[in-house]
Amino acid sequence: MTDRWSAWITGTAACLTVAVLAWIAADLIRGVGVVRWQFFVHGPEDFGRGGGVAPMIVASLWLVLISWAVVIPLGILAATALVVGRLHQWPGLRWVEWALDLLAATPSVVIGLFGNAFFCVALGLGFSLLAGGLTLGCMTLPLFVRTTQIGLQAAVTQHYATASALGLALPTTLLRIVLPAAGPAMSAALILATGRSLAETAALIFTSGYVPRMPLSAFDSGRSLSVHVYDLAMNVSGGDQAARGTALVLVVLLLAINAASRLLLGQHGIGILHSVNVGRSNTRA
Amino acid sequence: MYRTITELGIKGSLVAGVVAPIVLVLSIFGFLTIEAWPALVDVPWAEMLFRPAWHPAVEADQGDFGLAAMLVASLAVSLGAVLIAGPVAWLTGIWAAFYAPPRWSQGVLRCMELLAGLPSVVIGFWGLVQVVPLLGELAAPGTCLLAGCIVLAAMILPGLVIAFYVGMRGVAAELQLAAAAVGLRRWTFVQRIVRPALRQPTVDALIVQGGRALGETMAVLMVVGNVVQFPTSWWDPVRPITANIALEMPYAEGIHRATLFAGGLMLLGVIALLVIAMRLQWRREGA
Amino acid sequence: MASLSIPHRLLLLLLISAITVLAATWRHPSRSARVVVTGSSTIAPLMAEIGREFERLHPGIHIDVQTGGSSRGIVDVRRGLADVGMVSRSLRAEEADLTAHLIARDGIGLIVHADNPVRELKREEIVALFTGQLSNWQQLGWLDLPVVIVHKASGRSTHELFLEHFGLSDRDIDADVVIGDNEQGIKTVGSNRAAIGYVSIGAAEYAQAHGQSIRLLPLEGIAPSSDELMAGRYPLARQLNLVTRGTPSPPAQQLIDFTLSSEAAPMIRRMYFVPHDN
Repeated sequence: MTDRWSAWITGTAACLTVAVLAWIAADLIRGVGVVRWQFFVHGPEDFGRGGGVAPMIVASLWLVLISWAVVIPLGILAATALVVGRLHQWPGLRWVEWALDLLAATPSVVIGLFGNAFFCVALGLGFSLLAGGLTLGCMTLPLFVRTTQIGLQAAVTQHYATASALGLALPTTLLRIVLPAAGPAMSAALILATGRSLAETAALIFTSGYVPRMPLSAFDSGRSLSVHVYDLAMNVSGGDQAARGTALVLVVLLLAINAASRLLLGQHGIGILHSVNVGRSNTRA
Repeated sequence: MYRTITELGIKGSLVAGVVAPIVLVLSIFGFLTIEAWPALVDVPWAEMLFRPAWHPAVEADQGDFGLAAMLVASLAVSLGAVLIAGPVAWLTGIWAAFYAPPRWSQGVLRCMELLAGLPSVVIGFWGLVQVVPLLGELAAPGTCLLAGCIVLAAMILPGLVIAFYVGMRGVAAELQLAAAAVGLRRWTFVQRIVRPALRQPTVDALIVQGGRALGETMAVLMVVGNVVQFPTSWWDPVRPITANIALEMPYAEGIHRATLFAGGLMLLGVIALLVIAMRLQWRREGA
Repeated sequence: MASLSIPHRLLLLLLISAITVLAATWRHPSRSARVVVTGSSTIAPLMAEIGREFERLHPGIHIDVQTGGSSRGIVDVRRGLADVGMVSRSLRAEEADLTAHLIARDGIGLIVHADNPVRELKREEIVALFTGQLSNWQQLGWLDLPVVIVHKASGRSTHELFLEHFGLSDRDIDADVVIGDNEQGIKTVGSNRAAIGYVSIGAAEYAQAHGQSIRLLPLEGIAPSSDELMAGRYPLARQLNLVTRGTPSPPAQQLIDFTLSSEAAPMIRRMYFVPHDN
């Protein structure tokens, strides 16, 4: 086959690929008329056909912040331990890698089942933002650990030998040198995890529920933006336009998040983003 | 003294950090098993695995608890997605890696990142308002296996394109100059050198994305019609196991609820096997 | 601080604004009593409406309404996840541990797309349609169009009562789409010319009145309307109940009393249900 023919064929495939994105975007854009400033400050009316999405924004904020409370402490500890452990050749690290890979591959609906059984029923939290946020924390943990780990590994490679040569103790090395150096990677990891949380729907339906009301505390049930899109699309006849508007708000939020993580990670980070998207762990030497 | 205590504290918390993911995985398995236990005991395994009839009830002897049709539906819908997205992504990767001007290939990659960033519920919504009515023109009502495959294909497309592109550029960086020096045409280079070199990474990427498709819930649930049956054609409505969980979990009770957890456990088992296979494969590669 | 990069500032900004918003919306749990109401998707829109009015009259009490089907209402009340369950049928013998409060009557009606010219279906025709023996609208004197059967997921009382009335078993049904809430059924039928399904009459009348392209079919010659329900003539009628277990909390009891009061009756009628008193 000549190069000209192959260029045509592959080029057509590329057009098709981009056309999918264009098609989805073209449909979403039709919802732009719904999004006015009132959309952000009012609650839904007439089952979401009118009004706004203020309670869903607040519920999403709750969910994200609660998931941070799980992800930040556990994630930083796990990532640091993986990097330090590799340096000191701790036994059994391989199992942690396996566990993280498995967690990353676990379908969100299965994590939701766990969240329902553990947080809602066993811990007695019921359908609440707290239960939903904790579930999201478990879900995004591997993503956060993997991304943080990359930054930590770079910092360790760069500074650890020097620090040891200077006779600095492990805590000093970690707290004063390695962790600060990995700061951007950690923030990027947090942003990526936040994006994943905001996009999630399945794990939330039976952990945080879908009450379309302004949540008054973390013990209330709340409906995230993504669950609202689902409900409008499936259960509200004449709700398509509002669903487009809500989806648009969600997507713009996620785009901002993606841009922020790109800024943080710099040129080096494109590879990280790619490997995260591809779902393959990138810790192999 | 102070130093050693701090050091001990830090080491202790690091150990806690390293143990946390393992504990989490074990508790997921544990809680799923506990919740699924009544079903594992009371419903014959042969019924769950091989019977297609799903008429759940609170008591084991009042209903049918066959997961077979839903397992098959899950496999069919993800396989279909891989079959649709795989070739398109492979060709797009070739174009971006070898034919496109750098600016254009960067553009395609940016688009893929955008597509990868869309929440599944948004892609499902697109499927519901655009793909389903279109398929409905051909065969009403349009909610069917094929719609699920298309929606999932759109979801896994970006991951595949990026994986293929990164792999192809890797090969090209090593060999493209040499190939050009001996006068190979680009297509010959792709077919004879890139394709064999990337056989394993390609299979890996397809498995990873197929696994994602297998676990996807909302996008599929919105477009497949959710009728429990063995699919006999692309136009049949089906209900994958994930959709079943999301549909019935909010109100299930007793054995019904336990069977849903058993379905989740099965799904987790399949995913775990995939992950283990991949890890073993990598280790062999690394050796 | 000056050295913070832009994304870091964004993160900080997000954190601060999130905390501000949450602090602004936070109410101390003990200051506002909460009543969790879950269950039937038929009753949920009504209780959401009544709850809003109730909250206006009783500031400090917060009503949470979630759907999921009648079974969920019963499960949640038994598990203590909900204070009040919504059940759109009468309680069964094995559910004697719960107390039912009858709030209204409703029926289950067959719906088709507004374009569908079929005006009436006989009992045998309905059975034949849902079991797949009649599979084309041509056989009923319309276009050559394969019938799309919209069926409810099991565990929904609408599903159980429908099957019971026609003496069918879930195993006999040859469905094309399986749906959850009434609204999903209405949306599916309204966007599909060849579809036929069954939903709560109240929900269907409400949707029709709000311009949805569906039409209710009479059943055994009797129109599915509030009047016929009130007269007790419609064959596939059912109770709408609120259920509780043991002694309800004071705010839950207040909510039930309010729902049963004459103040709530107009709201019930606005949702095209028949208030209990009539």
